[in-house]
Formats: sequence, C-alpha cells, structure tokens
Amino acid sequence: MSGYVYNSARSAREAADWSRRRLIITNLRAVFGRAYPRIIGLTREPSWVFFEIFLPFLAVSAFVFVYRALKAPEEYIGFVVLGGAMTAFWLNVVWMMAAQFFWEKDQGNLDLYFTAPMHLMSILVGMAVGGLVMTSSRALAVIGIGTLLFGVSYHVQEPLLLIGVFLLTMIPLYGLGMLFASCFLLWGREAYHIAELLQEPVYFLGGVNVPLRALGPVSALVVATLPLAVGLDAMRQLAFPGAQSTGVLPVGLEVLILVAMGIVFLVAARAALAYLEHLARREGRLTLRWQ
Amino acid sequence: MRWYPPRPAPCPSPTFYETLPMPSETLAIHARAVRRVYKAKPEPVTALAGVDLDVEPGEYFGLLGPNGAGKTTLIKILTTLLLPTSGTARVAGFDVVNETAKIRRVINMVAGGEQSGYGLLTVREQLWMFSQFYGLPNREGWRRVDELIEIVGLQERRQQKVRALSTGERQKLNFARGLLNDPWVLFLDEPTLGLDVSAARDLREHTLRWKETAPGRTVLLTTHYMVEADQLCDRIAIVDHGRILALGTPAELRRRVQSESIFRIELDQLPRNGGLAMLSQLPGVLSAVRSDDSADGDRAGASSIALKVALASDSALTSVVTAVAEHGANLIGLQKSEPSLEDVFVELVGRGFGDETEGAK
Amino acid sequence: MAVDARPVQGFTLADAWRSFRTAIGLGWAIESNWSDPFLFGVYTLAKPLSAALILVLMYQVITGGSSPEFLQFLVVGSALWNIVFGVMGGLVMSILEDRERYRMIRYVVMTPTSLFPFLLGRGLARVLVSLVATVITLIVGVLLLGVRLQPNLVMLVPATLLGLLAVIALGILMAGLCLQLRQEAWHYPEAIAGAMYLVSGAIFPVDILPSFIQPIAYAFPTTWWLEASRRGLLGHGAPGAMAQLSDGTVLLYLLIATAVIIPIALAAFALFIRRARQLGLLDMVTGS
Repeated sequence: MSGYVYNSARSAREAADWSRRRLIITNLRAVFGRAYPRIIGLTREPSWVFFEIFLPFLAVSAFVFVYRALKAPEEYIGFVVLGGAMTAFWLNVVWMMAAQFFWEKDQGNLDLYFTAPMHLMSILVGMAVGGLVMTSSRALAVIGIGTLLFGVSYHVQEPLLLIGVFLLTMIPLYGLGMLFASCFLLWGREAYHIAELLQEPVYFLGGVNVPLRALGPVSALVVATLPLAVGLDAMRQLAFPGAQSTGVLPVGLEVLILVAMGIVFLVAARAALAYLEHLARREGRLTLRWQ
Repeated sequence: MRWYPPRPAPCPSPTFYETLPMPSETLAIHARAVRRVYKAKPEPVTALAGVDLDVEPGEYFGLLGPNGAGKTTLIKILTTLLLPTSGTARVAGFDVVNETAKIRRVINMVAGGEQSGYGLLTVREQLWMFSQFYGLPNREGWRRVDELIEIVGLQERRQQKVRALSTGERQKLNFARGLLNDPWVLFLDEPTLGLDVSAARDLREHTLRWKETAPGRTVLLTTHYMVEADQLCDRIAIVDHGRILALGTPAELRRRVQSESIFRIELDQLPRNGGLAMLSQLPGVLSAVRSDDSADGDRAGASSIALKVALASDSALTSVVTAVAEHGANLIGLQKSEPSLEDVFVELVGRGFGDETEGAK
Repeated sequence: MAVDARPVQGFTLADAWRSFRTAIGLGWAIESNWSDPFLFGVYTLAKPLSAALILVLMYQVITGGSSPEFLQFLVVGSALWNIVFGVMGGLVMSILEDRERYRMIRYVVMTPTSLFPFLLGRGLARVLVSLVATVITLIVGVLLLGVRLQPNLVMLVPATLLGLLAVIALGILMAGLCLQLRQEAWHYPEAIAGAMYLVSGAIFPVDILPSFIQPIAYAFPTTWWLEASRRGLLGHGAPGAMAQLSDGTVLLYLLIATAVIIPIALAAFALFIRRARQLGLLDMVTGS
C-alpha cells in the first residue's frame, strides 16, 4: 500500500462506520495528543517555574502576612496555604481549559478540531491533563514551601479521605471548566473577560483565604454551586485541627455534594458543548476571529 | 449515470429496494438550494444564494471565483463548521447538519495561509498529535507521519520546530496533515495561497498524485487561480456572489465563450490570388483577418505576416494549410488560441443574474 | 519619476504624539468592543470589589472590626493596587495581543513610529478602566466600610503622578520581558503584580516582612507610592518604621525610586526589542 493510502475501507460509508470501541479509543488518543504540547512545552520553556510557581507562591504569601499583621491564629495561615494551592487548579480550569478555545480559535486550531472525529471533551480533558503537571507542581510548591516557611501544622486523621475529597473536587471543577469552555464557543471575547471575572469573585465566594463560614448565609448557596468552595471546606476540616468549627457542612455531606456536582457538571458540560457548538455553527462564530 | 431497478408497488413492509441508498447518498458531495445568510450591520450578508452541486466520488472538482464569491462559506458548510441557513447538503452521503460525526471521520481540510498548530512542537510531533485526533494507533501514527513527511519533502525539517518553518514548508506540513487520515473527501481551500511558483507547483503535483494513488478519493478545490483550476480539475463551477454561474469541464466552459477554433498562422507573405479573401472562402473557414500585431509586416523588411483564422472545426485547418502552400506562401508558425477560464469568468460576470445557468449539473 | 534624495526627516515629538493618540483610540476600540455596557459595568465593579472584600472579610473574621485604621489601610491599598494590575495587564496584554492575536506588531515596528508611544497609548484604555475601579472601590469603602478619607492634595497629586510614572515604567519593563518568552505569557502580568503585592506594603505594613526582604520592598517605587497615596488620602500612612518618616521624605524616596526605575525600564525595553528583532520573536506565535 502506498504512503498515501492508509485505510482499507472500500467506501466512504464503510470508512465512517466506527465501532463504539474505536470511538472510545480515538477519544482517549485525542486526550493524550492534546496533552502532549502542554507537557513537552514544560521542558522546552523552563520559565514557567518562575512565573507559574515562584511568583504565585509570593502572592499567596502576601495573604499569610496579612494574617500575621492581624495576629490571626496559626490555623488561618494553613487555610491560606491550602486555599492558595487550590487556586492553582481553579486557574488551570479557567485559563488553560475554559478560555482555551478562545486562543485556539485565533490560532486556527479550532477549525481543525471541529473537522476531526474526536469529541471536543477529549480536547478539553487533554488540555486539563496537560496543564495538570504545571498546576500540580504549583500546588505542591505552595503547600510544601508554605508549610516549611510559615510553620503550618496539619492534623490529618484520614489521609485517604482527604485525597479522595481532593480527587472528587477535581471532577466537578473540570466539569465546570468544560461548561465554561462551551460558552467561549459562542461568546468569544465576552467569555474571555468573564474568565477574568472568575478570579477574585470566586476567591471571595470560595473561601480561598477565609473560612467559608464567614460569608454567613451566603455560604450555603455557595456550597451548593461552587465545587472549589465545597472541596476546600471539606479539605480544611480534614487537614487542620479544630477546623470542623469553621466548616459549613459536615465532611460526609460535602462529599455527597461533590459527587452530585460532578455528575451534574459533566452531563451539563456535554450537553452545553453540543448545544453551543450547534449555535456557534449557526451563527458562524466558530471561525470568526478577533471578536 | 446510476441505474436503479424500478420500484414495485408500495408494500406494507420495507423491501430490498427501499433499503438501497438514495442517489444523493452515493455522491461525494451533494448540495441542494444551499443558502447562507450572515447577520451583519447595517444589513444581512448573503454569502450563498442557493447553490446546487453534485460531485461524484473520484472527481477533482473546482470552485472558481473571486474573493467574496462564497467559496469558503460553502466549504465551511461542507466541512461541518457552519450550518446552512436553508437547503440541504451531504458529504459522502451524510447530512452536514445531523450526521456531522460521521462526516468528520472521512474528510479533511487544508486551507491556504493556515497558521494552525503549536509553534513549539516539531514537524513530526505536530503531525503525530493530529494523527491521534484521528485515532491512529501510536506506532501506526508515527509510521504514517514519517511517510507523509517523506512524500511532501520535509525530511530535512522533520525535527524543526513549526514556528521556524517558511510559508511553503508550513503549507507542506498542512497538506501532510490533511492526508493523515486518508480522507475520502479532501477539501482544499485556496491551498497555494501565498506560495511561490515552485512550492505551488509541488503542492498541485502532490494532490494529483494522491488522487491517482487513492482510488475513489474526491477533492474539492476552491481557488481564484484560473491556471490551477484548469490544470487540476475534472469539472469546475464558476461562482460569484453566492451562486454558481456555470459548471462543466474546463473545455466545456471555454466553449461557452468561444465555440469556434481560432488559429494564429504566421506566413512569410500573403497568399497570392486573393490572399485573405481566398482563405475566407475555403470550406469550414469562418473568417481570416490580419492579426493586430502584424501591422508592421507591411513594411519593407518585415519577416512575417500573422493571420487570425477562425474555423468551424479543427478539421478545416488542413484545407487552409494546403491553400496557403498552393498560393505561394510558406508557413512559419501555427498556434491554436483558446479562451482562458478568465475569459469565461469575465464573460459570465458581465452578464446579469437572469442569464445565470439554473441548477447546472 | 525621480527619487527625492533629500534626507528623510527624523522621528519628532509630533510623530510620537500622533502615534500615541492613534494608539489610544485603537486601545479603547478594542477594550470597549467586547461587551454591552451592563456587563462591562459588572466587570469593572466586581473584580476590584471582590479583591477588597476578601481582605475586609479576613480583617472582620480575625479582629471583629476592632481596628478600623487597619481596615482603612487595607481598603486603600487594595483600591490603589487595581492601578498596578491595570497598567501591568494593559501594557503586557497590548504587546502580546498585537503579536499573537492581531499579528500587527511587526507592521508597527516597521513604521517610522517608535513602538514605545504606540504601546503606551494602546495600553491606556485598560489603565483608565483600572482608575475607575480604584475610585469605585474607594467610594464603596467610604460609603459601606467606614473608610474616612481626608484628602491632602499637596501629597496626593505628586504621589499619583510619580506613582503612575513608576508603575507605567514597570509595566513597560514587563511588556518587554514577556515579549521574550516563548511560552504563553497571558497571565504573567497578574502573576507579577500578585508577587509585587507581597513586597509593596499594599495590604500589610512592610515591617511584617522578614528583615531580609524589607530592603527589597523599600527599593520598589510602588512601596513609596502607596505610602504617599495613603497619606494623601487618609492623612496617615502605614504603621511601623514608615510612620517615622515625614511626608516630604516619603515623596523624596518616591521621586528617587521613580527616577531610577524609568531609565532602567526604558533601557531594558530597548534591549528587549533589540533582542526580539535578533531572535525573530516579533512575529512569533506561541501556544500549547
């Protein structure tokens, strides 16, 4: 068979007839394919260590010093360190996933993704997986260095539960990211600014630097909608001594909320991607640049 | 032309005949009354005003037209990037609105001036990444990538980062990407845009070679380069303002403008005994006139005289050449002049919309 | 047609002003293009207010509201820091957008105009939005959070002017630096501004920092700008060592720090552009 001809199907209809197994494998390959540029990029441009780890650590430290200036109890330092670590994942979701279609459209990659047979969610998961190396490094650096420098003490009685809660938090978090990504298909530049808007307000409502309970009645609403807030609240209760008094809900209930959120956000993301792709194709925005 | 057995009288249960694919499902590309209107201010823009198109499998089909004619809009609809405002379109028998997933398994697209991809990846890595999007197994993907790199002539640049490639090299890379999944329908949207003569020629040759090697593969090419369409395409649709103005083989299209055969004949002198009048009266000769650029031939010392002879058919040429020789003139040069596709387009665009071909097939 | 052999006129101030003015129009057209006024308003308000409210909440949880002077310190520092975010973001995003989204930067560099006034003008729209955000945060602070402003224009006006110059200089430096990076640098301005948060006394007195970091903080012009602006707005600055200094001394240090950073930033920017031209970075597209 010559270099040009690859598949042995006798007709286009035959070539288009894919089994479920082939579909799944294609999507898994697409995840890995899309993650590859992110992962290989880390080795080819090492400046990320400074900009993605060192500088954000300094920003987190600023809030530690605010608590020091306020003469806050030491566990609040731990809250800030853990919150700062989790913001790494939130930023990965917002910028490396949700806003990514915006950049891809400008570069002309979005056209190619849409004309390829894999599902868009595979591309998003690939982006997330690819960004996870950087994100996890950042989170670990914040926790590790923050713990050493600021003398944070932990009291973890159920480490497996803590890890489980962390992993459970990631699912709805990235599901939410996929949901946002579908907005970018349609809203273009507006959605990009909405991504910018999803930083400080989410840090405020998510209790990144302050226990969520301090928000009062609003905290209940936040717990029902923001996976970052729920996960962080649960992890604080599991990681720090006496933190149960600052939690909004018991850990068990928060775990159930995370599970429900995960299902809801993933299903919603899939539906939203399909619907908004259809809308974007109808409006002609898939290939419209410089909105 | 497809043959289908006559349908029997309607039966209460599905029959064999009813399970046969409809004609539109066997075509590579089928479009009926496809319209696309963009919402814009101050008023909507009609990019496609009702396009009818049938492309058979294995055809190299061209869409020729100026910028803004609607070529790219049509390609975007056919490659599932855009929905038509109205009308239907099918690619490889699948509907572009409702069966996009199946279409995407058997098509690919290469656009001119494409800057897609990731600059920090090498040529090999870039192509491999796209191979994964099409589900090629890892090893098979690398093998295919290396083969295609060899075919398009990027071997020496295989480890080069994509951002360091020249325009021509980048387009070769894009073309290789377009062949990764061995598509049944390949869409080329002005693929030689911005390329130099040599790079453009290479790319055209690659497309022809691919089509020859891969049976049943169809190419839809959009271009505003007349020469490209003429060289490559089995059939061409001339598009302007969102409509197909004419459709046919390049020869058929040229005959629309000029049904007669025109020859430029260079002689050392006018034939004796009547000269042009004698030639004009020969059977099959429609007219014989001095060519404009032969005015200097009258001057003393001019070496040749050029005539423009219009014939009803090529077969009348023999009598002209014989008559020239019998009447004392010597033939210095003979050249057939044909209208170009540009002449065809100018001829067509100069007409009003009421003169357009309707539903040309 | 004969070629005019007279020497081409050099780049004048009038040219620079024309460039700057045109770039302002361009920057504003881009910044105002993305949304309806309501969403733009929400965006302008929500981001800076949330940043301030995080700090207010931290303060409230720990002190219960028993230290209003510290609250004022926090609110004013947070409000003013919007300007740093705005300038950094505006200048860096302008250069990155023009390189990677609009692919225009090479054409600007090719013209007789200098990139510098173009960049300044282009980033000005974001700076203006950040100024609005600063004012709104202060108004909310006054109306809802008990912040008492006691404006001292003699202090405030020079502090604002010098501070803006210093922050713009830092922004120019960052813009040139981000142009060198081969990786996506879109969120680096925020990362840099966030890191400067630590060493500028924006939300806590510099005295709280470990002693080996304090000299770094005192070297930053933003530290003196915040201190001078606080004195200009509240009538007093940060507690601790800085409180011992007179207004004039604070302004003098701000002037010195600004006078040092401006030539450094301009020289570095010129160097970065030169390096970008050498390495072909001006029309590079990054992405992963």
